[in-house]
Amino acid sequence: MPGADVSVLAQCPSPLPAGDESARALLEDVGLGFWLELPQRHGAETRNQRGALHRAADTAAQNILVEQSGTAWSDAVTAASAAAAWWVGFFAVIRHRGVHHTTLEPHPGPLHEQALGTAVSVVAHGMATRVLEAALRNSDDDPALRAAYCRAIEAGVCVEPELPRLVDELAELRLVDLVSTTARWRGRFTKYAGGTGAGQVE
Amino acid sequence: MNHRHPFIVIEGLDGTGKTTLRKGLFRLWEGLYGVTPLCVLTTNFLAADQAAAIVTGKYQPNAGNRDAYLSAIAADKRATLDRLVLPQRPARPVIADRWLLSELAFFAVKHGMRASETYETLAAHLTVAPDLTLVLDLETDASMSRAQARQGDAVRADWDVHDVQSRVRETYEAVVTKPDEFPLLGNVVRLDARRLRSEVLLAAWDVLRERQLVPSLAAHAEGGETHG
Ligand SMILES: Nc1ncnc2c1ncn2[C@@H]1O[C@H](COP(=O)(O)OP(=O)(O)OP(=O)(O)O)[C@@H](O)[C@H]1O
Ligand SMILES: [Mg+2]
Repeated sequence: MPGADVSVLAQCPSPLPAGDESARALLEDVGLGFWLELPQRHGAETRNQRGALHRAADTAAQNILVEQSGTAWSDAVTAASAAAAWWVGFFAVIRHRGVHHTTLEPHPGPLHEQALGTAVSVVAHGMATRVLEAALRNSDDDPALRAAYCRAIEAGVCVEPELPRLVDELAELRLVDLVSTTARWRGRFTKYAGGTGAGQVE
Repeated sequence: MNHRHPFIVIEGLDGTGKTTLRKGLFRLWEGLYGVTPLCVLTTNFLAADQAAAIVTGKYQPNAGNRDAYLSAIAADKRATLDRLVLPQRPARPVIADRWLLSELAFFAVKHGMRASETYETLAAHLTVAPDLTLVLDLETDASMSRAQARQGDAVRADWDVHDVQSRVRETYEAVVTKPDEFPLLGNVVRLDARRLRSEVLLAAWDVLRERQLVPSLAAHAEGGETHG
């Protein structure tokens, strides 16, 4: 991704709505305090310009939340997704200094910005899933929360077959680690793709 | 508190979303309830001496191999219950991607057997019913286009065609409307599979919650360990 703008890639995410202590507590609860803090502290200030990674993060959060807003869990999902854009962007900025994730050779080849957008949405879904699980463990009474969790799960199921290709494209160790440890997936075992309809053993 | 985990079966025509729902439930249990389910298929090739009869009976069904096939799948299901389902249930839920209903439909369509006749033969070998059979319900046009849109090579010319799938659906209907005659299906619940994937999962989860087949999360939060 030659010529990319560092300040747009590692843009500072919007902060949690003022006074939303319950959203922050939920994030702390799942051990994601740092996930928000570092982007807030080190993110680049950019005015009036939302990069592609931030848009990917917004879309990921909206896919899970649909219309829901104003609860601790929805604010926490929005914040965790926005932070995902910074983490992916930051690792993209230092990617040229990294090594290939399997060969450990330096100088990973160039990369399409589109792959970074996919990486953001995978990471955002993974973090959102964690946040929603923490909220559900406190109480599963809210049907909107259960519905959001089901959307997060199915987003994960749908993206799983694409992950091996994404990891190959990202190539660099830190980015690959970020994606592959945040997504829920069964590794590269994709024999499930074809279905059992005709009696194929999955 | 429920110390015995459920045995759940997912049924539906090809392409209705069984595997998708099974993966969703797997993630739900693992992520939220902290227990990893065991997933099995309708045949698991656990009765080694029956494997050849299963392959022939499934892919080249004819009058000559019908009975051998039926007794082979009975033996295989019996072995699946004895060696996988029953030993695992103290530790984890078991989710089967197809089970009895699919076999009843296969024998009805390929061999013209009445569902009750196939059922009786299988029932003679099986002692345990699932807690729940979820049937994904979808028009054949929709299920076939879902199955075909998928990558992979799992669509069969002698099975994934309109008239066969319609007859399969009729058998499902006939069985599902008379659950009392097929007790080894357990409780049967139909789910509208026209909805979004996440809505189907939510509906299945609601059924599990209503029937207390998943742990109560309030108890989970207070008591810590839910699974003894
Ligand atoms: N609710 C849904 N809405 C739209 N598409 C769906 C839905 N559920 C599953 N699909 C898609 O339809 C295709 C078939 O789904 P799946 O493989 O889960 O069906 P299946 O019932 O397991 O099929 P088979 O009997 O062939 O194994 C997949 O591409 C899947 O992503
Ligand atoms: Mg399947």
